[in-house]
Order: sequence, then structure tokens, then C-alpha cells
Amino acid sequence: MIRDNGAPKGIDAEAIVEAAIASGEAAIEDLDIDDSTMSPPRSPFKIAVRRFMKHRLALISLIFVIFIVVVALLAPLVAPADPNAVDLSSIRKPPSGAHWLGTDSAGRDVLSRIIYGARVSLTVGIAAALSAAGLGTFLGLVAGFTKGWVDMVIMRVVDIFLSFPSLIVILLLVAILGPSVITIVLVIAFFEWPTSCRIVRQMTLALREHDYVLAARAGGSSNFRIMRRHILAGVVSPLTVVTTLLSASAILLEAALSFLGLGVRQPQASWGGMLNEAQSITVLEGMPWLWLPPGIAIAATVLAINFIGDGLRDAFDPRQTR
Amino acid sequence: MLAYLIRRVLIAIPVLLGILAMTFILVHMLPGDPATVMLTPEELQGNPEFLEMRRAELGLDRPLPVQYVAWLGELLDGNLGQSFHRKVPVTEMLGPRVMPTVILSGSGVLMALLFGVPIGIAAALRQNTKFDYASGVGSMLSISVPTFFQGLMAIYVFSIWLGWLPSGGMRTLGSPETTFDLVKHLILPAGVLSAVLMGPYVRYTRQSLLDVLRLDHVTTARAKGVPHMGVVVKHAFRNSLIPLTTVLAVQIPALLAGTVIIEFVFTWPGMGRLVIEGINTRDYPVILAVVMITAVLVLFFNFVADATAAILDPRIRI
Amino acid sequence: MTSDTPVVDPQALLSVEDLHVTFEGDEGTVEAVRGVSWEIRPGEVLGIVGESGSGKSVSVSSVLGLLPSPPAVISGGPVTFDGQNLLELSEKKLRAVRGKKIAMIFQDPMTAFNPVKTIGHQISEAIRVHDKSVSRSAAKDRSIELLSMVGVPGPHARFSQYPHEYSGGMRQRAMIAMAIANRQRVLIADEPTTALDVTIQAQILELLEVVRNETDAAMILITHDLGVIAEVADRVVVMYAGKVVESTSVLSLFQNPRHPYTLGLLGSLPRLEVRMDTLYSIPGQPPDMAHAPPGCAFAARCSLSRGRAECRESVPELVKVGDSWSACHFVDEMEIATENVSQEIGLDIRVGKESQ
Repeated sequence: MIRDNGAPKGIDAEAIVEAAIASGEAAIEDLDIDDSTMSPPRSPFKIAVRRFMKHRLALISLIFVIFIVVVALLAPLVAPADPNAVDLSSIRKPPSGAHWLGTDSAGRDVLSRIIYGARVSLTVGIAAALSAAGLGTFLGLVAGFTKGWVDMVIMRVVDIFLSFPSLIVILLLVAILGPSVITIVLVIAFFEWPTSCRIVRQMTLALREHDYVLAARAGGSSNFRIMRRHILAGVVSPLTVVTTLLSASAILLEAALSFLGLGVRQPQASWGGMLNEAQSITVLEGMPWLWLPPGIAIAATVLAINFIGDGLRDAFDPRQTR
Repeated sequence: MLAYLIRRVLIAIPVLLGILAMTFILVHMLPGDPATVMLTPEELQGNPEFLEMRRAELGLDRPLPVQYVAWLGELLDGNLGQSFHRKVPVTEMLGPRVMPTVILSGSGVLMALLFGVPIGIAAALRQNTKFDYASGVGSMLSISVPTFFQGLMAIYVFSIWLGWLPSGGMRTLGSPETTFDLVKHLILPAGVLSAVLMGPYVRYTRQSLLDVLRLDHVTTARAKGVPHMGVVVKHAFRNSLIPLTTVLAVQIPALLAGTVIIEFVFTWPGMGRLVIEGINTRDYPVILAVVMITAVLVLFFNFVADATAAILDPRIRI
Repeated sequence: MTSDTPVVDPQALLSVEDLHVTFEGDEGTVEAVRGVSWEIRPGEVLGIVGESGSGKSVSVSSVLGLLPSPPAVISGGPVTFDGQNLLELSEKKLRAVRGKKIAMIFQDPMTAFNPVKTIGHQISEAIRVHDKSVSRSAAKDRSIELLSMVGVPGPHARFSQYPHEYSGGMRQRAMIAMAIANRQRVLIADEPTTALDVTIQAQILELLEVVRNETDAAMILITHDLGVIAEVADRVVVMYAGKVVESTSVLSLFQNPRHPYTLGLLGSLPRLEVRMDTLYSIPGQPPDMAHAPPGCAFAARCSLSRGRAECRESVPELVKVGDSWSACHFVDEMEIATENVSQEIGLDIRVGKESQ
């Protein structure tokens, strides 16, 4: 059965879990060295890396994302102008030699704003994804490992969170708490943790019954050690995929927030915020340089991240259904 | 089967209470006096003694759990509070907005299913052909390009450039309220909504069918001599729909989020726009009412999905 | 093809000659079946024995064209049935054979049945797919008849039940019912008892015997369990690493093993007659079929080979030895080897001979 968990649309939770379990098993078998064969043992990590490399789309996407990250980091060096420099004499000018992507309603250089906007999107995307994944993993491990009523409570909480229309509540919370990058990151993380929690919990439940965990327990390892070594190792692969896809979601969420005027405040450049200007028909109709670049930037980045996530999932998945 | 459904309802109850509790907590997180959120304008501006009595009824100076119960009571009475902004009961404001949202989201989902599922099936049956790759790229674009950007582009192409369709609103002002007029306004927003929803539907349908086709019972059917198409239709299709009901149900929050944005971009007079307006004007009662209603709707649709899955899969009915 | 390959018996109902099946995968090409030949005559029971991965299921699945075609590549053959080469038949013609002339019984009855359809429906389907003139109710009657023939109690009610409402043994019976629905001439049973409890196993084997007698069908029984072979088979083919290593009558197999692998299998059977502290087992693991070794695939684990160059370098062909066929370079040393292993274990491992 396939189960999705709402916000990050590309995630196939149960399949990821099954794939991870299977690759874990395959890894164990791989370690069983046989003298009569000629194939050398390969660690599951190396196999995954090799398979990822074969996925050309994912590779190109990875390069693209790295490129964007570098540009964002080096923004002050790369941007042709100060993104907040207002110049009321050249408002909404089309692309020219001085401003490769034209200027916006306050005369600011669009290209520079795009470059600085990358900072916001990437920061929010990565930070929110990592926080959500972190919280989710912790609670998932707890739920899966302790079972009993603690597990039930956590799962009911997960259900409640997943029922809530996250966008609306996020909007509400950001409105109440004020739109700073940190608030946005925390609020997004607050609503995205259930996804990774479910996955980690499923993995934990499945793996703890696995033979090698039982063997470790029979050998006297304490619960904590078991959890750390065996289960965390099994959880890493689906978690990587989920975190990647979560960051795609987070970037989209932040863009939506800014577009609605409830995200990162002006004058700070943000891709979604720049699209806010396209609300007016005049802009939409006659000034494509104001809204096409930020839209394409978001789309390209998210697309690339999703391809990477797909590539990662294929890399970790020994089944050949795709 | 009945026992199963009753069990699902029973499990849903604590979740429902949880939703209500969370909403209640949100009410109290808001800056300002909760009474202004919960009482009607007449009550607030009327007789001070009456006001005191109402405040006591709501237990506003008593411990939170008591307030919670009182608040639940108000809910059951149909009192969703009054709008700060417009000074009218929230129920009055919500009323006319419900239908437009239902029409929009309903059409969006239907279109997404009508196109998405067949495309997914075709992609699975033509695995690794150009069609399959094209549908894969399409799905990726569907989930990667932000909803509002897709909306803006749609407006640009169909409304501004081609001039075929109106760029917003539900009706043409001053024109008679014909269905044709409604449809003309509905196509673009519903179309964009369905484009956004379709991506996951195509992917999951395809994946589900591929998974089912690899199962043992499909080999058995082939070994019996069932022709290929017969195998797909009789032994794979229904089986692959079962996980899809879950996907659909769980996608409901995403559907709602998409609807909110689409309503905003296309100035569609539904609950989504109401919420955004509410947020911009800090009209908490309105926001909370919408939040609560949507959460309950999600719960309801999850239940529907469970029931559908039980109908499709006899193993679940125990 | 070599000159020593067993010649096909013109009486054979179904014969496989020099079948090759490879799988193209991410990690390279896996040679699952590397030149396998066997045949079955009317009314006979042929047992195919081997470990998991020996290629036994794959070779049989390819007879009915049930392998997914990428990644499977089938070559060699012919596979002759009713005067036709099944490998060259169109899908349409092949379908007329599947389920009607040659039927398959699968290993795991839980997954082999479609969980969302009733058992009765699935049996009826087997009938109606080959004869469209049969009405729904006629097919239903026949299905109920079949269910009672295989010993499912209360067949009327059971017809409308789902697979998960049956017990494991009953499901296997239902699968057999489905397989004999069209009076098949060949039944292929792929590990029919592996997923079942030991007590049920005996019942199912008995049922298969009854069914065979009633329908006069020939049966190919795939298993890794020598006990099952001993009870049921007339002739046996032993497979290892995608090749046939021994082919003989069942009696001969147990009394005069002609291949060190067979010897190993016999030796590792637990015995009740003698107290055994450790079970004899064949050391090592089957080879990785993505990188098949150049010589005899069994060489690394073979007690007879003792590292001799011939074993490691050249692939032994099937040669006739007495009334068996064996693929071993040193088959004449088998008698002595059998003695040695018997001594090691402490009893004569040749089943049916007097204990020493």
C-alpha cells in the first residue's frame, strides 16, 4: 500500500520504507562473503552512490543546485548591484545593458534581487527541512521504539497535525508571530515534522523485529546502542530522500507566503515577494521581466531538488519497478 | 464491514477532539481578549450585566478546561463568533462562500482524476516509452512549479494573450447568472488547480499499477491463459486503486492549500479568499472558523477514503 | 549442443532442449539457466530438484512464457509440446496452451490468488477464459464440483469466499482445483508444499496423486525437498547453478548417486536411524550467477574434485553412466566417494540399501 503524507507531494512513504528495509537486507547479504564467487563485497552506500551517478537527470540537478547555493553564498560578489538600492528615476524599466533583467517598481535591479532572493529561499528550505526532519526523526524513533501508549499518543498527534490545513494555520501563525526568516522556518518545520515522523516510526517498527536487531539484543547491547547503530543506519536512506523532498516543499511554502504578502518583509528580496508585483494586470501583461525570472527561479530550483530526491530514492531502492 | 466502519468513526473522535482543542489553544494564543472572539456584537455592546453573565457562561475567568467545555457548547449552538472586521456573525460571512469553494475544489479534483488516472495507467502500460517519460516530466513540473505561478501564467496565456477567458472572479458583473458564464469563469482556476493536483495522481497511479503488475497473482492469471488486457483490467486495475484512495484522502490538505492560493490569484469568492482577507485584517474569528471547518472536512474525507478502501479490498473489512 | 546430450524421446509429451535464460540487470547479466534439457512422458512424474537459485523455477516458467521479457532473454530450445515449439508461438497461441493444456500450481497460494476476488470467481475464470460458451452458472457449478473434488469442505459456501478466508492448506487445494479445471495434460507444480505445514504437505501430495490418476496428467514437480521426490517422482532431474547435473530414475538417484552434488544432498538428509551430532552439509555457497565460474560450477564445494584442474577449467558435459546421465568429470569415482561419505556419517547414505 502506498501512503502519502500530505504536504510534500513527491513522497511515497511506505515504498521508501520497504525499499530501505530491502536494501538493508541486501546489504546484510552482500556482506556474506563467499570464496567461490568472484564479485567483491560492496557497501550499500557505494552501491547507492553508483546508482545515483547513473541517473543523469539527478546528476544535472545536483550540479544545478550546487550552482545556486554557490551563487547565493557569494551573492555580494556576484550581484551586479545592491538589491535594495532604490532608484526612483528608473522604475520598471525593461532589461538593458545596465540592468540585465530590468528594474522593479522601486527601481531596484531585478537580477540582484533574484540572486539575493536565492538566499532566502535556500535558507528557509534547508533549515526548515532539517528541523522538521530532526524533530520528526526523534519522535518517530521514540514512537517506534517504545510502542505502547506513548506510540499511540504520538500517532494521534500526527493525525491531528495532518488533518489541519497547514497553509492556513501557517499563514495565521506567521501573521501573529511576525514574518522573520526564523519564524517562517520554525512554523514550517512545525507543520512538516509528521511526514518524517511516520516514516521513521515505520522503519523503526519494522527494523526492531529484524533478526540482526534481535541478535544484537541477545548479545547484550543496550536499547540505546541498538537504536543508534542498527536502526539509525537503516533509517538514513529514507530520511535523506524525505528531507530532500521536504526542502522542496518548504521552498514552495515560503514562496507562497511571500507571494501572499505574509512572508519575508520588504525590502528584503525574496522570489515569492517579487511575484507579488504580478498581481497587477499591467505588470502581468507588459512587464514579463518582473515576474517571469522569479517564477522560473523557484520552479527550476524546486524541480532540481525533486529530481535529486527521485534520484536518491532510485539509488537506495534495489527494486526495479521504475 | 459495519463493525469496521464504526471502529473508524470511534478512532476519529479523539482526533476530532484534538482538532477542536488545537483550535481552542489557537484562540487563546491570539493577542487580545478572547471574549471579543467568541461573543456576538449585540452581546458585547449590550447590557453590561448581560455581558458579565455571558462571560461567566463562557467561563472566561475560570480554568482553561472549563472554558474549553463552554466553548464547545457555543460551537454546538452554532455560534462561531463574530467577525472583528465586519461585525457580523461569522456564520453569515461563511455562508455564501461555501458553495463557490466547493464548486472550485470539486471541479479541480474531478478534472485531476479524470485526466490523471488514465494518464498514469497509460504510462504504466507503456513503461519507458516517450509517453511515459513525458508524463513523468509533466508530473514533476506539476508539483514543482508553484501554484500561484502556474495561475499567473495561465492568466497571461489564456486571458491576456489569447483573450479567451476572463482573468478572475466567478461571474461577469452585471450579466445574467447563466451556467455558461459560470463555466467560463471556472475553467481557468479549476484547470490550474487540477494541473497542480494531477502530478501526484499520475505518479501514484502509475507506480501503483506497476507494483500490482509484478505481484504473484498476476502471473497466476497469465498462467491460466487470461489475455494481457484482461489481466490488466480484471486483476490489476482494481487492486491498484486501493492504495489510491488513501493517497486521495491524504492529499486533501494539499487540495485545500491549493484552493486557497487559486482563489486568491483568480479573485474567486470562496472560503480561501475569505481566510486570506481575514488574516490580513487580523479577523481571528473568521480565520479560526475556516481552520476548524477544513480540519473537520479533512477528517470526514479520510473516513470516506477508509470506507471506499474497505469496499474495494475485502481483506480490510474484518 | 553436444553429442552426449540425451536424445529426445519421441514419446515425450513435453521436452526442453538446451534452454538458456539470462537476465539483464543493472549489475550485469545473470545467467540463470545455462543449457538445460529434460523431458516428460505421458502419465509420468518428473521431479526437478535444486537449491534456490539453481534455475529450476526459471526454466519451467519460461516454458509457458511467463518470464517478464525484458529483463529475461530466452534462447536455445526448442521447447516442444504437441509438435510445436512453445518458444516460437505467438502470444495468442501460447495462451491457448496456458491453463488449458499445461497448467501451473504455484508455491505460495496466499499471494497466487487475487485478494480482491473470490476463489470461486477465479476458478470459474480459468474455465471461461478458454471456452467462452460456458455460462457463468455452468462455470460456477463446475468450480464447486472441482472444489469438492480436491477436498474443500462446504464448497457451495466456499465458492463465494475470498482467499484470506481460507486456511493455507485449503488455498493450495483450491489452486490445484483451478489447475485441473480444464483437464490439463501437464501439471507443473512449483514447490507446492514449501509454504505449508508438514502435516498438510502429506495431504497435498496425496491429493496431487489422486488428481493425477483421475486426469491422467503428467506432472513436473519442482522442489528442494528430497523427501517429496522420494514419495512422488518417477524420474528426477537435479539442477545446480543453471545446469542439469544429474538425470535419472528416482530409485537410481537414491541408490546410486552419480554426481557429487546429489551425494551432498543425500548426505545432508537428517536420519532417524542413527544418532547424529552434526549434520553433514555441503560447504560453501552457490556461485553468483552474474559471474559464472569458468569450469564446473560445483567445483569449489565438491568433495570429489579436490581442487583438480579439470574441474576448475572445463565444464563437464552430461554423459550416460549406467541408466543415469551425469555431468561430472570424475563420475567413475562416485562409488568410492559415496562409501567415504557414508563412513563419515556413520550409515549408508544410499536410501534403500541395508544399513551397515
